[in-house]
Amino acid sequence: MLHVHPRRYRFRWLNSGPSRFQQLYLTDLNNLSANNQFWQVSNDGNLLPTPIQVPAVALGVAERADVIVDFTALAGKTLYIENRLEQTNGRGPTGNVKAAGQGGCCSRSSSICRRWPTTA
Amino acid sequence: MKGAPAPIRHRLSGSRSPPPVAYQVTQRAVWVTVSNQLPQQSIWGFDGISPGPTYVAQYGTPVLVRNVNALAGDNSGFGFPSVTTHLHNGHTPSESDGFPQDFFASGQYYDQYYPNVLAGFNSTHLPNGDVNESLSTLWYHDHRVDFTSQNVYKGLAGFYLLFNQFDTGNETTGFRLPSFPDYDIPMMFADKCFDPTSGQLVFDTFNL
Repeated sequence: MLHVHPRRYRFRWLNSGPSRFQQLYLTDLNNLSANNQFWQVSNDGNLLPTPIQVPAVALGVAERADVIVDFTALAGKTLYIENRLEQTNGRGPTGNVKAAGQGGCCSRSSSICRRWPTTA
Repeated sequence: MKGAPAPIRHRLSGSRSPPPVAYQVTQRAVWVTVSNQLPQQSIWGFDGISPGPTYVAQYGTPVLVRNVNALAGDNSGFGFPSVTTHLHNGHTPSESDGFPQDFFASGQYYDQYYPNVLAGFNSTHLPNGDVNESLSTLWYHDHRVDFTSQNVYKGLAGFYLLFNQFDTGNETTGFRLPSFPDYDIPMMFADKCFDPTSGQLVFDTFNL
């Protein structure tokens, strides 16, 4: 868990593979209908001409997205970075996007499916 | 009779001066805890951590990295202790790029020179390159021919961040993006499979 201040953060998201495609959303489990949008400012390391407001970013293996998340209006809340893209084998996603809170890895639904500690 | 010159396999870096910044990292096996529901895992890391150390580099300031291979012989089922480290998307001279066949064995090291220059510096955008080619978030990973996926899966990956006069890492200057490292956080997401009986990280080496 990462504790943040109610301000803007830059997150640099990478799908380091090897098989799963990801579509990452910000999910508030206490408000599943909330559309927690954020700003994408780069793809694969290249800054975009202008930031784009998005509800999610999709990442294939080795792809990156730099995003700006503004937690100013989210003080006191807990958000999950949730991969909602359904994928049942190593041959690619089904194309289905799960409902908020129903995603796979990177969410609370699989407690052993977590990333290794990040050391910056 | 004079013979043909030997083919130059690699283009040499432009600068011959010593880089002002040098790092040495050691790739080695380490036992880690990834969950309180799982036993300790044997993974491979740079300086014993995965993701490996995050490089913080500036355009215009070259970096030299000495990658030492100290990986043990026992791989716990997958991973090959012969490595080559690739800076993904980096504008890197070929001898330092970490080509799949530039691998080196346990007990050896490889020096890699990252000039941190913009693409086009020697052709279309003399002499400093095309600013539109600026990169921000890069990552490095093992690139060993035939074993890249399992060596990366075993932990050989990390971040390499590049800053310039616009993307400065300081929110009071340039594009005023959130300051590194307090408000600028790299995150790596990977899919992992654990054996339901042993609880150990597994890799399907036969692509079943």
